[in-house]
Amino acid sequence: MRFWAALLSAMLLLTISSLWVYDSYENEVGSVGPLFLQPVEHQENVIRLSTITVHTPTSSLVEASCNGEGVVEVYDVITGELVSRKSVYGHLTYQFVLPHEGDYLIINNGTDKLTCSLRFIKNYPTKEVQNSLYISGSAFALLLALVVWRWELDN
Amino acid sequence: MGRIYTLFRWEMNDTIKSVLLILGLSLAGMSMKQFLMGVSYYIMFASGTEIRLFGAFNAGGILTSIKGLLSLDDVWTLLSFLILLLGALTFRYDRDSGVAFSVYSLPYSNTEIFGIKLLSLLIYGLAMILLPFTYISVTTYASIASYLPKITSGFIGKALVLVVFLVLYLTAVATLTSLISPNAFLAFMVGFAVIYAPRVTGISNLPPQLFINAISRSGSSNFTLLTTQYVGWGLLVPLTIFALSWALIRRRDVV
Repeated sequence: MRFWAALLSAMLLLTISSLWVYDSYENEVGSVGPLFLQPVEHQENVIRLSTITVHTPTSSLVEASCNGEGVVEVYDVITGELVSRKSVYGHLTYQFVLPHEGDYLIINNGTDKLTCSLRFIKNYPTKEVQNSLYISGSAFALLLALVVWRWELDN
Repeated sequence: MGRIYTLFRWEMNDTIKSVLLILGLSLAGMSMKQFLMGVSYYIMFASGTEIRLFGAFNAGGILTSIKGLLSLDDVWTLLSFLILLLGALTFRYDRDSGVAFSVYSLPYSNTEIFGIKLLSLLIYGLAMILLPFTYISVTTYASIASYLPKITSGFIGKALVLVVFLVLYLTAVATLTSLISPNAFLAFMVGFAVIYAPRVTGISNLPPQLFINAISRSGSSNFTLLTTQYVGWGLLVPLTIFALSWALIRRRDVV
């Protein structure tokens, strides 16, 4: 009984502190770069490209600041979905949203060279993450209540 | 079976051990969570006629993050500390406090008592690392949870075996030092020295550093578990120590 009570309270504690971690991480500005983005080169059949893979633990609002000339494309690494595409001539600051946590691929699909830096200005856990925390937290709390209740009956 | 189960329940439900479990589980989980909170990036160059950029196997950032959870210095420092404390509580403190006089006079053989105590110690040790690891990695990546098995498939098996090896080693040290020391405090101090001496002196081919480094390399394709170093320190040494402890506890009276 005591073991299960300890285990469940620890997991409950972990759930609550995870939520608290997200709360404090929300406004933490993360920065990536400056990144030098080379254009994709085609030589007959051979393609040469340099890719940047960015990892974020939450869904994020990203402010990109780019210099140069080219097309910045951001893809979801797992599904290959296009997240954002922006043509840059000279200088451009724009924002886009990374829809969920995970890895994103950034390439320059233009013909000229680009330098970009990314600032992650807002970080929110996605609905799935929040649900998983709330549901598991509720389950831990319920089970803990059950254990404590049974405990009373045992003695 | 009910007889053994009573002893097992008794051993698992010790109050101080439960408090240590709460501490260990939540703190290990917290430092894992904090480790994940941050953005990172890496650059790759590719050339060829056909380049595969997408798919679960290309999610290197997620892979590195999840693998990093198992080789965190903070977590293993905390865990070795707690396993040593748990070992001293399980095998030595009962003798210090006099509870052992009653326990060992019950109709259980010393082997049974030793086996149950060891089992509970292993369950505590493994729960403190595996539960927070699973929980944190699944909840943090809940939106892409269905891809996680594929992303982690390259290292997770080997890494978990290494984790088990390391926990076995820590448990073995905790068990033996508790059984040969005259009191719980000394048991803890000696165990601490044995675990930390290789770390502070920077000897990386002795556990725990050996396994922590191995976990972070477990993703590479040329990494193999079946070397004398890993199997020796992770399986043979602990088993020898357990056998030795078993011989000790069988031959010795409760003092």
